[in-house]
Amino acid sequence: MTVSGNRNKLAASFRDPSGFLFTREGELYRQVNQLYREDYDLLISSGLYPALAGEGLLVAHREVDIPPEDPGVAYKMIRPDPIPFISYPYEWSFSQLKAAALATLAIEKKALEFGVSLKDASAYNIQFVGSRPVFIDTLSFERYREGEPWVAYRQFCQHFLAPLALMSRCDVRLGGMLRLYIDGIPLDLASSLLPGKTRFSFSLLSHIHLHSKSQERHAADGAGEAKSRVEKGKGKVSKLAFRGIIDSLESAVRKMAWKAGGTEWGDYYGATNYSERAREDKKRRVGEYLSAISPGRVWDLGANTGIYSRLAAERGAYTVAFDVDPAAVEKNFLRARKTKEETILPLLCDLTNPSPGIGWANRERMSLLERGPVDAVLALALVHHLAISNNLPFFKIAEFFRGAGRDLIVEFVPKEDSQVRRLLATREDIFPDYDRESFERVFSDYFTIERSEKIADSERTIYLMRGR
Amino acid sequence: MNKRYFVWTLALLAAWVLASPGRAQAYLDPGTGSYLFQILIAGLIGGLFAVKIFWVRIRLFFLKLFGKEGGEETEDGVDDSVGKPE
Repeated sequence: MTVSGNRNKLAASFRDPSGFLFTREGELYRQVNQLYREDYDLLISSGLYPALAGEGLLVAHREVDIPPEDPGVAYKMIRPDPIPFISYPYEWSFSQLKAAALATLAIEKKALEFGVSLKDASAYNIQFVGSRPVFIDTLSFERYREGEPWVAYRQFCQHFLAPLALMSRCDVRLGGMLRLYIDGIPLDLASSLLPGKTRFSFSLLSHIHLHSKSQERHAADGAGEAKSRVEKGKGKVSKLAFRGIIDSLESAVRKMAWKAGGTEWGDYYGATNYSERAREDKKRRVGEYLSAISPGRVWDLGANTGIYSRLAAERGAYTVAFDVDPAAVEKNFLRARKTKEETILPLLCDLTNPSPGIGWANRERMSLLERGPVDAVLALALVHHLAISNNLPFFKIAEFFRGAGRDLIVEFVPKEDSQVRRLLATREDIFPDYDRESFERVFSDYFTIERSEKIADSERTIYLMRGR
Repeated sequence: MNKRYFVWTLALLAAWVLASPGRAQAYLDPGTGSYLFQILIAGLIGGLFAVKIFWVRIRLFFLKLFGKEGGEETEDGVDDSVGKPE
């Protein structure tokens, strides 16, 4: 995990004066500062905390008696339940971002019942435990003050509404813009990119187009003027109107839709040259290898819709299923959600350009490799895409896999295979070393090849390798 | 919902947009505009919400009367429920 300077504070939580996360002896803790005392006590004493944690909407924590990390300002020390894998909004598929948005609004609605409100609606406050969204920032709650607008309204629109609208109304790949804009997509940008007809949708007209206009108009006013208008009673948001705004955002999010399908990989399983027998044999081998190493955490690279990821998840491994195709990740997530799976997390990832460290000093959000290594990596029907479509030498691929995990279950697809022939059909064959012998020789520098078997009824070979 | 009310709203909002000055530097402080915008739309959205609550109650009353369960359905058939499975 990322730490800042010589302190154990996590770089992701340095902005909040209410408290911060830190690690001590490998455990994650949160210090609650004196400044946040009143709101923290309210969260607990109002009954909101047990209500939210009981439903699995807010991460559960317990108060612990350990020396504070920053004693001068400390009020309490808490230990939140660990999240198996930290993911970011730019790695989520459409329905994941939608589920995160709805969870945030469900929490706000529940909080209002207890006289509490969220002061942040950052998408980074949501993490997924498998397919279940969980709010992780215990310090985001404050007393609801009648008459005041929702202080997190802007953030909600930028972090959730704008990207969801762009993904459903323009192109699903625009979700990747969240990687560029760490505080959500600027509303003037969303407004200019969205098709003109979105102005006829009441919710998009108000929460994005007009909202953006209002930001432009009042940019120079300063927060002081806004506050003074509220204090003078010139503008108040009644509790009914406040609930109305939350309800309006909720119905806007619920209406957003995107249908996965018709993309590059959408029907990959149907289009491969695998016979039923080959597919069953491959599944059996992967299952055997997984049982032999029984990993606790697995990354399935190039997971498609997660057929093989589930073999790992079924054996108790928390499995992150990465794929470059938004439709595959979407289908995988919807399947996981349908069966309420909590050990499989589908995520978007272009392996030729995985998530970098972003934010202040490149340390607020971790790069992909910083979040590893895991116990085992699955790389099935992947190496030929990296080696041939992306000109990556074997040693670069082996080095990357070894950095991502200890053990490796990998499939080699030779030139004779029709999939590789297809990749080579429109380009010069500049890969004289692309054969099984070279593959094994190079990978042996990083791994010990423990088992290898030819997949029945195919040209392909599958390997179990243990990290050196 | 009340159609005439809706059309009036759009007209008013459009008039307000037309009367507003051109592009300013929203990136300096987008917060103030968001704050004031909520105050501006509060009356309208509060009103619409009150109407919605009213209709939901009437709908529930009739559903109960005819002994049907009022189950919510999503547009895309995707399970939008949040929290832990029951």
